[in-house]
Amino acid sequence: MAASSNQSNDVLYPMQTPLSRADLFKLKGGLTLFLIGLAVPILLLLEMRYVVAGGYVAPQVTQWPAIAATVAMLLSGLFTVAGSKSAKKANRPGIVRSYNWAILFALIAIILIGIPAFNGVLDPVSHYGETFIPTMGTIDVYLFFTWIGMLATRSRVKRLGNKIENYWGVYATNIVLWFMFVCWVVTWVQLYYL
Amino acid sequence: MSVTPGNSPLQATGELPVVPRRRMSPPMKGVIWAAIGFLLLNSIVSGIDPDVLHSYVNQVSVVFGWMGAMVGWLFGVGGWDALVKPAFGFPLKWKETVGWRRYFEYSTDHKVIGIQYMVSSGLGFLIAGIAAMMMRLQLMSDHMWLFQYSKGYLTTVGVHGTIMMFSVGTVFMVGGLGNYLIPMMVGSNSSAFSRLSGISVWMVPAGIMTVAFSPLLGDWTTGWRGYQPLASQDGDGIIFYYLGVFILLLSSLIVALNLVATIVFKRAPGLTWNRLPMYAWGMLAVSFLNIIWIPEIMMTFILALLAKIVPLPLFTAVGSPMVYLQMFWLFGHPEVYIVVVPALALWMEILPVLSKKTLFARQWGVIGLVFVMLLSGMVWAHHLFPTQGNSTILPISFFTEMISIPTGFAFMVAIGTIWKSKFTLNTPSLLVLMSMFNFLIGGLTGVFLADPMVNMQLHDTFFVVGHFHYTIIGGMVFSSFAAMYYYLPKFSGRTFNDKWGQFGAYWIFIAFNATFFQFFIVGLRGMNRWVPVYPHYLMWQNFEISICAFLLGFGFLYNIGYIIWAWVKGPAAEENPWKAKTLEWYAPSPAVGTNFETEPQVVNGFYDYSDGAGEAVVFQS
Repeated sequence: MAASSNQSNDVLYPMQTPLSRADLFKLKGGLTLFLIGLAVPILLLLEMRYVVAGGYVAPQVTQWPAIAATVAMLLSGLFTVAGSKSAKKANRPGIVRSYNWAILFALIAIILIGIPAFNGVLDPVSHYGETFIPTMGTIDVYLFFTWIGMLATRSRVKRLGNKIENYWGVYATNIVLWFMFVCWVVTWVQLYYL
Repeated sequence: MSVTPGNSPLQATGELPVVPRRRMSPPMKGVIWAAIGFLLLNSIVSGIDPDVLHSYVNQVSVVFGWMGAMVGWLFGVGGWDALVKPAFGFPLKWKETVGWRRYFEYSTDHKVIGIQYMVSSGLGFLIAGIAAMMMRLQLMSDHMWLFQYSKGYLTTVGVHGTIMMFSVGTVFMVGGLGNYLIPMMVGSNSSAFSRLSGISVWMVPAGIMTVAFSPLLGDWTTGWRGYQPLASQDGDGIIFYYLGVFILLLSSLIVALNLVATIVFKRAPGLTWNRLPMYAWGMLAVSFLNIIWIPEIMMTFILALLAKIVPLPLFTAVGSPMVYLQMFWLFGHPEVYIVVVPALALWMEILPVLSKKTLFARQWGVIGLVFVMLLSGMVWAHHLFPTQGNSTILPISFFTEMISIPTGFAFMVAIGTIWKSKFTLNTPSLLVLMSMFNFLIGGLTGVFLADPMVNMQLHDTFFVVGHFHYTIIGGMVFSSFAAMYYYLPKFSGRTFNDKWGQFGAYWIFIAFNATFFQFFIVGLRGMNRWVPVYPHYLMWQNFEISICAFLLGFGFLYNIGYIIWAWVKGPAAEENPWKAKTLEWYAPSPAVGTNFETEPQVVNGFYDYSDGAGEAVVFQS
């Protein structure tokens, strides 16, 4: 969406313009394309693991951070859902409160996913290790950028206050976080159990 | 010149935009921020490196330093003020400027962005062209004379191929012409994701510079493919190859997302799929290819980079040097169609207009574009025939030959359209015909190479080099020049002298064929690729090929120079000099400001030139 302006020539932000159904359709479509693009490297990495390491799973791979990261991401996702529900009622303080928790749990997930990849338990030049580390690293990088998006959404809601006309940013962040959750769960199950 | 770009934040007030107070030029600010970003991240990573004997700039730190430089560059050219700060809800201070300066800073106007893409791509064409001239200079003799070592020659080959493929072939007709034309073609005043698009264009010069200066870090011998595990034995320049290509591909990925969303979601009322312009169909097909394959190759390059700098043995383990080959060519062959499909679409866009005849078999043209897109992902292994068994070779050979059928639909539509028409033979149509001829040669030799027996003999010879130059230069570059001449009145409001245009077209056509047809012959005579020295009996043919190549280089310079001259000084053009019916010609020429003051409604197809055919577009008051 291009920015637009009001009578006093203030430049408006995307969240400050009302969105029609067609606008929302366009934004959802664009986001879907973006997520399809994001899924391709994950699929490549999952395939790469079988090419290089077959179905082998290293016995020393650390289990608990992965389980804890899954819980943290789930909690983060639940709070972004709560944020979206608040957005439907235009309850801005509710969005900010939900996002405070969502951001915290997403940060915890980022750290937890980084632990098994970088705690030195796995040999990075083993067949399993050399696919495990880039895959976990990619998920972590994706999640880091999602986290920045969550920070931006929260900051926008807080700063723009009652000038907000649409909450697409809140809904989109929620969708992206759940997409990340699915990517993570698939990766976790595949790398740890299959 | 007072200009209100199509989607400027200021246009809604109806006032002319205010020239902002003087400020540092955004590219200069970008360079300074990039330098700061590099120093900062390189220093941090270098500082925490536990190896005390490492140098200040080492393999790992330079990667992070480069990332810092890219972020600094993109923030400096306008991303910080116009994108990041507003994303966090801070007041937007940035205002789109006017006049020529707007081409040197962040913009959300798709037309400005399109021209920025074209100019950046043109810069890449010149740099890669100079590299090609250096290669031909070396090959004028059968022994080393221009380059001291073969690695220098191979690095030049790599820089040439990389910049040509990733910043010219992939960018000019999609990022450049696509960004400029598609919103107008679908009857919109802006592209779908104009803010994102405004920043993606600045990745192109950064990517080109990264690749162009990569030899300063050390020679790399892999060509445009970045082959692992070979790359792990190369100098550190290969690191900048991976990084430079990564940022170029990221730019193309954003272009693809933007174009698909624009075509799907921003079409004017009445612009059904049956009426969608052929160039828009081409952009749609190419963008889907980009959305699928670019993330795949970006991830592959990250893995290859890790294999170089960690180093992980990703591509040397369990007999898997083949893994990288497969992963690269999975993208690599669709890439050829990413380059060529826009050219095929452009033929079908220009020819009915200049023939004044209804587009022949339009549906087959669309089917051809879509099936080329679908089949392009099933032919990659023909690049690897000498490493494959029969079980792989035969189906891939079959699909490679099959793909010539939907490609042939474009020829059928083009020839059927000009057949018995009132054809206007001018510079753009001449260049389209030349492009068709060249691509036919490239395509036929491609079918020839798809035959496994032939492929085994000709693999890694100049025959293959001739083949792909006929498709890429012959198909895409000639079509790009056709587009530049055809759309010049739209870009600039000026036109060209057709005699001088045709002179330039014949020049490059003759020089191109004199150069690259001989590649087939010299390849059949035993000239190998990837070697700066060769048997003495091939020297005189290589010598005169080089002379022809220099003539071709000067021919391209002539055409670029003439187009620039006509853009600035050419005679004024009519609003719609070709009497075309597509929507972009309903926008003002030169196309500055708002594309459509009132929303257009499409009521008929754009390519119907039959008697009694009505207007394609009406405007609601």
